[in-house]
Amino acid sequence: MNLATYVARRLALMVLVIFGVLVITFVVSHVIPADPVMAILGGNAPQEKVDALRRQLGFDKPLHLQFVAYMWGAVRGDLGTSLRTGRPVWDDIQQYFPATVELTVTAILLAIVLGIPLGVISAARRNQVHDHTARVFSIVGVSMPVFWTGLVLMLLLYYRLGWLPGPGRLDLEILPPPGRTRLLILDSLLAGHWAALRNALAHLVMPAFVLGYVATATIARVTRSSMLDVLYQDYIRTARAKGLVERVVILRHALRNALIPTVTVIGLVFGGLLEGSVLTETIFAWPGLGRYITTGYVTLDYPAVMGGTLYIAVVFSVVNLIVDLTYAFLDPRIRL
Amino acid sequence: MRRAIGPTLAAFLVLALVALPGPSSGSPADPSTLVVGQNTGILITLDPAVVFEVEGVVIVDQLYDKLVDLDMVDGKIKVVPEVAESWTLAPDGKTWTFKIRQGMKFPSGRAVDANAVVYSLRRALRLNRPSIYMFNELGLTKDNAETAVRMLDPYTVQIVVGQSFAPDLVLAILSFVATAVVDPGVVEQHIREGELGSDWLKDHSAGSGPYQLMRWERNEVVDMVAYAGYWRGIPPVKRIVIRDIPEPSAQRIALEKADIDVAWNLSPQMRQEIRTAKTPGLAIVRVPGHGMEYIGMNVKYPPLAKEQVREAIRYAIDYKAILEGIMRGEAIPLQTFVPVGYLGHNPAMPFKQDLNKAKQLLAEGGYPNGFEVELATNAPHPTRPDVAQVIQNELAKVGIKVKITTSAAATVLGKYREQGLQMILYGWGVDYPDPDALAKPFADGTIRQLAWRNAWMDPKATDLTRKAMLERDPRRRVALYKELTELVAHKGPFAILYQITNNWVIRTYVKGFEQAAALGTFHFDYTKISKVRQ
Repeated sequence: MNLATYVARRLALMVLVIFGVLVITFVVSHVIPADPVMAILGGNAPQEKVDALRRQLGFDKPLHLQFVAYMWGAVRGDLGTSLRTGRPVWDDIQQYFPATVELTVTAILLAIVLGIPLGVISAARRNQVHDHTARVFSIVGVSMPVFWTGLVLMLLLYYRLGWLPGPGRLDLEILPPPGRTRLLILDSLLAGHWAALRNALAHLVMPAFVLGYVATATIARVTRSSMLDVLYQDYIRTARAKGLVERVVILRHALRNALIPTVTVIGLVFGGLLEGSVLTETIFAWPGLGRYITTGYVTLDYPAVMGGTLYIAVVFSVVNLIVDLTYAFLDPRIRL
Repeated sequence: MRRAIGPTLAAFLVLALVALPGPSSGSPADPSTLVVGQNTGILITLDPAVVFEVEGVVIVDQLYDKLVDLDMVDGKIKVVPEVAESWTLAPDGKTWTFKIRQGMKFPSGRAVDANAVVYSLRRALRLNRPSIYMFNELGLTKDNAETAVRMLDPYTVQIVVGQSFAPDLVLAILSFVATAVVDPGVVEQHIREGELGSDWLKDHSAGSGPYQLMRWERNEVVDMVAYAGYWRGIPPVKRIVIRDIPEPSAQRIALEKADIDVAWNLSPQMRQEIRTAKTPGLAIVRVPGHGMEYIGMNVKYPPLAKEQVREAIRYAIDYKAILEGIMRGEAIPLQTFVPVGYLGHNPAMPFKQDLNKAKQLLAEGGYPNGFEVELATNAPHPTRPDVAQVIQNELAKVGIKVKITTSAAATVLGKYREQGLQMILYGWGVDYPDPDALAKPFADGTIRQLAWRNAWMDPKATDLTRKAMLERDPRRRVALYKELTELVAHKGPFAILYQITNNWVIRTYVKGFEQAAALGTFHFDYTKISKVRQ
C-alpha cells in the first residue's frame, strides 16, 4: 500500500470514529432518565413554562428526528446552543479550549522532560537506589487520584511554602495581555508582557505537573523497560567491548533505539491528558474545556456535553492521525 | 541525544526559576479591594431582566438600582425606597404612582428618570423570561407592558396591576432585580435585530448602582469597580473581585492563606472544622435563608390520604436530632410554612417527637401496623441523604417501612411534577420575600405547585390563600396567614423540617459582612463592607 492510500484509509477511519462518538454521546445523554428542562427551570417554575421550554428546545419531538437535526447541524459546524448559557456551543468551545491546550501541552512537555531521563536512569542503574526511587515515583503517579495529588501539592507548595501561586491562570494584580490567541503564554510573548508571562508560567507549573504526573510515570516505565531490552542487545555489548564510556553507550547507542516505544506511548497518553484535564481544571480553577464539560454534566446541558466531547474526540483523532502518519512516513513497514 | 536532552533540561530549569514568584503573589493586600472566592461556573447572564440564579442576582444587585429595595428592620424584611423615592396607591387598589428620585445619574451622564424606569420594566416584561412569572401573577405581562407601565411626567411612573393585591406583595415583587433600571441610551446602542440587548447585557453593565462591571471572564473572574457618581456616595470597598474557585477545598486553602477575603462555598463539614478548631483570622457569618426543607406526602397514596397518618408521621420525626445531629446548628427551627423574618411568620412549633401519639394516630387512621412507603430525594446533596436515613429510622419505630430512593435533582422533580412520588424530601426556595410566595405553593392545590404535586386540595386553604393575597390591611393579613399556616401544618401534606441558613467564611478583617448579607440573595449589599487591616 502506498502512502496516499494509507492516508485515505486513515481519514475514512477517522470519520467513522467521530461518527461513533457522536452516536454514543447522543444516545447516552438522551437515554439517561433526567430532564434538562427541569434542570434549567428548577423546582419553582410553573408548569406552563416547563411545557413551553420543552417545545421551544424541540424535546417534544421523537428521538430520531432530534438526532438527525443534531447530525445535520454538526456536519455544518453548528453544535447547537448551550441550554445553560444560551450561547452557541461552538463559541463556548472557542473560549475555553485554549486554556486546556496550554495546560495539556505543558503537561505533556513536562512529562517528556521528566519521564525519559527517569526511565533511562532507572534502566542504567537497575535495582539500585535510583531505580527503586524512580519506580516508587511511577507507582505513586499511576495510582494516586488527580484531585488528591492536586490538593496535597497545593497545600505544600502554595499554602505552606508559598513557592507557587494558588488557583487560577493569573494573579489579580496582573492584567492579561490582549487576547489574540487566548493562549496566555503566547499572548504575553507577542505583547512583550513579561510580568504576565512569568506569572502565567508560575500558575501553570502545579496543574501541569499534577496533570502530567500519570503520563510522566507511564513514559518513565515504558522507557525503562525498552531501555533494558536494548541494553541486552549484541550491538550494545559490542559498543562496550570497543571500550566506549558507559554514558556514551547508553545515551548515544541505546537510547536512540529505545525511544521508539516511548514515542508511541506519548501519543496515547496525550488523549488521557485531555480527559484528565476535567478534574485538574476543577481543582486549580482552570477555565478550560474540561471544566465546561463537567458543569454541562451537572446541569444536564446536553448540547454542551456532546459538543465538547465531540470536539475533544476530533482533536484526539487528529493528533493520533499525525502521529501515525509520521510513523508511516518514517517506517514503511507500518503501512502494511 | 545527549546534546538534545541536556539543553532541553537546562532550558526548562531556567524557565522554572524565572517563573517562580515570591510567596506573596495573588494576595489581596489592598484594603480597598475585596476578593471573593466563589464557584462562578453557575453564572449564566448578568442581564437584570433575565438573571434568576442566586449568584447572578447578587452581582446584578451591585450593578443596578432597582425601583424599590429591601432592608432588614428589627429582624423583619421591609421594602424601602431606592430609585422610587415615594409611592402612593390609588383607592382602586391597582394604580400605583411612583415618584422618582431626582439627581441620580448613569455613568453616561444621563439622568435616571421616569423614562429609564419605564423603558427597563417594559423591556423585562417583553423579554418574558422565566423570572418574569412573578410579574405575570401581578397582571403585568408582555402584552400589556405598554399600558400597565407608563410615564406620567419625567419623574413620575404609573404601574397598574391586575387586581387590588396586598400592597406588601406588590412591592416585594417590584424589589426583584428585573426592575433594575438600565440606561436606555446605552442599551439601544447594543440592540441587535430580534432581541432587546440581552446579548450585550449578558456580560456588560448599564446601571447606576454602586459598582460597574469591568470584566467577566467566564470561569475565571468577575471584576467590579466602584462608580464615582453613585448617589449614596462611593462605598468603602472600591473594587470587588470574584475569583472562580470551584473546588471548596481549594477555596478554603486560598482563604486560610488570605489570598481571598471571603469563601462563598465551603461545605457544612468544613465550617464545622473551622468552628471547632477556632482557626485564627477566620470568622463564620450566618444569616437566615429564604427557604426550607420539608417532607411532602402524596395523598393519592392510600395510607397518606388519611389525615391521621400524615399527622402521625409529623409526630414520629425527631426534629431536634436533624437540627443538631445533621445540620449541626446551621438551621433554624421551623414547622409552619412562613419563614422567620417574613410578614406573617408563625413561630408555632406544634410537633416534637412523640412515638406513642404517633402510634395512636396511625391506629386511628386504620394502619395500626404501619405500611410501606417510598421516600424520594436527590443525590448528590450535602444533607438530604442523611436526613432521609434519620427519617427512615424514626418512622420504622412506629411500623412505617421507608424505602429511600435517590436520583438526580431534575429526575426527582420531573416525577414530582406529575404527582408521581409517594413521599419526597426536598427543599423550597422563595422567589419573592412575601408570605404569598409560600402560601401559593404550600396551600393552594389549584395551582400546579407543591400542594398539587402531593395531590392535596383543600377549598378552605385555597380560599384563605386568595383572601390573604388581596388583603390590603397588613394586620388582617397577618391574621389570615396565622389561620392558614395552622391549617396546613395539621391537615396539609407536609412535614416542615427546618428553615435553611446562608453561611460564609470570611477573614476577620472584613467588617460589615453580616449586615451586607442580612437579606441574603434578595438584596446583598457590598457597600456595607469594609476591610480593616490589623
